[in-house]
Amino acid sequence: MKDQNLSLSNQTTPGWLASDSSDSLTVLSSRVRYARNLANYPFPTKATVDELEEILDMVSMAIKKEEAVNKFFLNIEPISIDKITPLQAEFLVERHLVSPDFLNRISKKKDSKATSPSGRAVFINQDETVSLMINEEDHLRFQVLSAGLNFSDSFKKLNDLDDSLESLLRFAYSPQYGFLTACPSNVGTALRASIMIHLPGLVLTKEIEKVLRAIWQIGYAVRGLYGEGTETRGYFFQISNTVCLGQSENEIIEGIEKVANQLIAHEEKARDYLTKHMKSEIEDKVFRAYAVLSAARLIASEEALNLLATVRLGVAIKIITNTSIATLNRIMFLLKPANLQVYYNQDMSPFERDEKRAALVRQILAENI
Amino acid sequence: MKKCSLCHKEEVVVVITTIDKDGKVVELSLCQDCAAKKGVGEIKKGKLNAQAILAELQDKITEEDHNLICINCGLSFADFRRYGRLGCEHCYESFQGRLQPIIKSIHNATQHMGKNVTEGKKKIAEKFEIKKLRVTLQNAITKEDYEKAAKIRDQIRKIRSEVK
Repeated sequence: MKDQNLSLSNQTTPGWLASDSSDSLTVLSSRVRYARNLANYPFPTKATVDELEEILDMVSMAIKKEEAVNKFFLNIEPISIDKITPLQAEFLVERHLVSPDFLNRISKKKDSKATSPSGRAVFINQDETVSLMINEEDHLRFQVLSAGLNFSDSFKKLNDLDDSLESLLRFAYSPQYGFLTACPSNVGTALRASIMIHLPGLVLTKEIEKVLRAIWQIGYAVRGLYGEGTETRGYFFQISNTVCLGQSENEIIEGIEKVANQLIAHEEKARDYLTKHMKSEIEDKVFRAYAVLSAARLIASEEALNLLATVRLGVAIKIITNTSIATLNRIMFLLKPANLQVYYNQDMSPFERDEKRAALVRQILAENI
Repeated sequence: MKKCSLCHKEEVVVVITTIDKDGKVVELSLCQDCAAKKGVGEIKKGKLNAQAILAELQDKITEEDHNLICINCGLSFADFRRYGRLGCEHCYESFQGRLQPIIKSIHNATQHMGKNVTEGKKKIAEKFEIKKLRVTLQNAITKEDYEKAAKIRDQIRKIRSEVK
């Protein structure tokens, strides 16, 4: 293991994180994804190993050899999920480049003995903005990630990629239900648009329940950091559309943008309230968090994330001025268990991780960037 | 039968997703009485999320569900209810009558309003398919797998005849 480079990426933190616009004070990232299936092949759960490999070949060839699609993944080789270590797999999940389900699917198959785990791969572009999973729940699932609230550019890119793929591949489609997917919850546009939003103000003013409930009622789902079935942590929430059918792609994008802007407005109001009416409490909370991060010798990833989230609030409301949102975003990714091990290029025990994590946070915060 | 997550006695009639005061997402499966006490009686079937709708499908799978089978991939409707995933594109026709109400309850719509597949581009897709099959054919020949090679040759012929 020591000789092998653990990294699947040439960057210590995702390239798309680099931009630091004012929206990033609240919205960490925006993501859009399409699900597509090839016509005349069963969906992955019903496909044989031969069929899965044929699908993988077909899509890989379109991406590697055809100019129309190739520009999205210049000089990129697909990562075969069966050939990477569990640590590398976890790294990809932490970077939001593959879904936890993409990996779970494999262990399930292994147990059932029925089919060997093959035919699954992911293409990831240089700055990690575009990734395309082959043979997840659907034959193709591709996404565009960007920092802050930015659907116009990312959706255009996603749509261009879809058009290019569609010119080469025949997708399962019906005039009534649109793009056909393994789960009926994705059918239609098969477009999922989501934001990762930081709402400490609403949590601390206890307004969060009311606000999120309202969002629910108009058809949006609220989840934790890694999507479906994961818990919310560090005041981060993932909001996404649940309706894919009966609306155009543009209407879906406009809808989530509207929700995002409403949430930003509510959050700003709450932060305003905090600075005006709960000044000492918030300052105390933020400075304590900063103090622990700057002094701890051992820190677990969950504690680090929660403290960073509090410091992030402190930076946003200008209590803390000697670090930036961009730095905190970087640290957030670096401190995740697999990312940390990849960064140091070594397998570590949980104890060693807590040690290295604490040291790395102290170092980065001391650099005052 | 799933029991109510509050009283642990009665059968679940409604699953609600809610957020507690710390902003944590919690799923509650409630019986009629507990739902009424929680004040969710009125929204009983109103706003279930897709997960809840799919989870609900797992209850009371009938004989009829086992006998309803997709003509193309062989998936039974019972299996769809159990795992929440369809087997192939034709499942949508095979299960049309049963699937439509589910789709309607998730999306509140039954008609696609988004982008279409472009018919004109089909020829490029077919050309690409043939190109791809030729590579596979070459590999099969190199490996002296003539059975596979013959199959691919037939596939190429079939696509060619469709293009014309």
